[in-house]
Amino acid sequence: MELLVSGMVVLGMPLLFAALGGLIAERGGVLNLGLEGLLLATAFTSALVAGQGRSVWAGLVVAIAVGGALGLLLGWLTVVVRADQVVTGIAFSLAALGLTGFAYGIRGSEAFQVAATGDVRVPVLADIPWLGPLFDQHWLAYVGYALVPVIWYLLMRTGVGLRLRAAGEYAEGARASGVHVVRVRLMALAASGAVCALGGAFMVLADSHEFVIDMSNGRGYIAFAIIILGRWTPLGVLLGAAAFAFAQGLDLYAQARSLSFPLELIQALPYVVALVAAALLGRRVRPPAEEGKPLLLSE
Amino acid sequence: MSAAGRVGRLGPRLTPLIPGWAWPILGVLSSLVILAPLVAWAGGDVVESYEVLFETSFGSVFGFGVLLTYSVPLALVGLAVAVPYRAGLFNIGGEGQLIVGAFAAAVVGVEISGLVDWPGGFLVLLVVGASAGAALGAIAGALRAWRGINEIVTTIMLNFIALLLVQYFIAGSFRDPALTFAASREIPTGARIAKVGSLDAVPLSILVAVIVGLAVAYWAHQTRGGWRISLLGAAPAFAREKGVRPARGLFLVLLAGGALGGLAGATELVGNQHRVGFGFSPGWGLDAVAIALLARGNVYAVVPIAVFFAFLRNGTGALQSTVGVSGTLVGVMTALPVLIVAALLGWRDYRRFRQGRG
Repeated sequence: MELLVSGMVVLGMPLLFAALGGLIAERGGVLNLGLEGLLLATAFTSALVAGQGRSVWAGLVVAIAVGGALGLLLGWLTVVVRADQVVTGIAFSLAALGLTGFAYGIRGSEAFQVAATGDVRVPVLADIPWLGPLFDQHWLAYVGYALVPVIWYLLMRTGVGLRLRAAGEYAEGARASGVHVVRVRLMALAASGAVCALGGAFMVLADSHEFVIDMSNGRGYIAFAIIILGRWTPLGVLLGAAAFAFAQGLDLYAQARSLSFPLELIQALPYVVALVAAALLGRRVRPPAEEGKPLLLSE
Repeated sequence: MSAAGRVGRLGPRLTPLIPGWAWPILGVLSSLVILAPLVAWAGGDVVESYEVLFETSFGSVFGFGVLLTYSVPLALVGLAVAVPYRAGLFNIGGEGQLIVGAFAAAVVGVEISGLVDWPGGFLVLLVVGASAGAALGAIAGALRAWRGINEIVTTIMLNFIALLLVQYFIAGSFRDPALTFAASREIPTGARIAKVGSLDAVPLSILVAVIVGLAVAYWAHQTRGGWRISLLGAAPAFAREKGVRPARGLFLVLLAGGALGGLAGATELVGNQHRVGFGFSPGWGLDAVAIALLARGNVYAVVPIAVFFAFLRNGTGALQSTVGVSGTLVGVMTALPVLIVAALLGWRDYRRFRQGRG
């Protein structure tokens, strides 16, 4: 059980960060399909900067900066240039896969080996039976736990969050009441990229300690299912990420105990649940109204 | 997002300023230009790399056969994305539809070999594959049409479900026990589409891709039904006035996309791989999105662009051994043009919107 919980955290954190990043963009009215590319690009960056025994801190900081900048680039393309959000996100992800793979080939795998440091064991809490492993993790995992209430608070209880949600639900109305919709959405995309960067950095700095081609392996796309399953709320996203991480963690668990049961079916379960839930709830699970539309405001 | 709102603003416009055929050519050219700085960055010989790129596909019959072999699944799954795109919908589910189509065809081909033991036996498998893909597409279509759920998200989720289910079966009850790796049994020889030419390199299944490509493009651009679908994408309110039922249209178009995706998998099975393993598709479903987007709703352009993508895959694969440059640059060469074209078109549409307001 401890093994399973620990595996869930390691597997779930990239999903959580990516889905939280996607959530911020979607609440602002932009469908960020570039999450997969953001995860890859920031994992690549963190490994490149922190590689060969250089500072892990520098790796993290540069990854966040690059994530924010790439988020801003996606924002510029979708919000200012009004390029199609779906097209831009998918093409961006494919380009990131190609570019990171290409640069990895040029530099060679030794350049991307990172020192394994940063595990923090919280006294007392880590000794709780069953749930203890939640508190015996890389410190980035604690950032992940903390981000859930922080993002909830920012979205639901601050002026910035209100303006963001207004831009996502009714851009024309938001503009009429003085919200600079373009600026708000650009900020949302930058934040989206920066939060997603934590997921990319987590994969490298906390989990595998190296960069590997296509290491995100579709997690940026799984994040979209998580956002729906979580009904566009941070807490829901946390539970959704946990559900997917549980299904994937069973794999590790079964291997360690050499159990055999149909893992593929269990791994498919969260997707089936998300689809069925969406089908049953129908129009009551409603995404932000402006999501996916180009920004066309009257002057 | 509301059905009318999103559908109305995406997809092909009815009155393009720049002719529709110019955009794919722009994309192809920019893709070829991108190769130079990438090769230079990696320290390779730029001129030689262009030579290798063309030599690989057009220097020998064998190379040309490989080009066509790569083209077949890309063209068909590209159509699977292009058809729903006419109605303003994004079918990201090509990958799942393809693998389900291939697997369903493999099961029928292996288990009921009597059914395919005649000269046109492969046709049975193509129909089976298309039906399986259509079933997957119908799920996304029904959820989109009657529950208003974003088809991008449902098709992505269905991809994962389909891949995991097929993996479950080919690692378990449908595994070929004679193999050291997990894959299905081979379909019988009689149910295959042959390859001809030197070293048996040229696949006759390319005919399936060309015939289906022309038929679908004709339907989309020259028939009443195709016109109604594009009307649904470009002007939903007007379409409703003309008697198009939006929900039914959205459902059918995603179902058709799924059928084409399933057909892509079944054609690849009978024409090339003959069995379904874990690595059956190297990511054709996402390539297909790029192909359809470069075609910009012009269905006639899908097959040529797919051949171009196959040309890039084939040629860049050879760069590693000759120029010493990793073939992964193909991802950049296929994705960046899509970004460039999307940005140019987005900006053009926005300016037109501003001017329209006077």
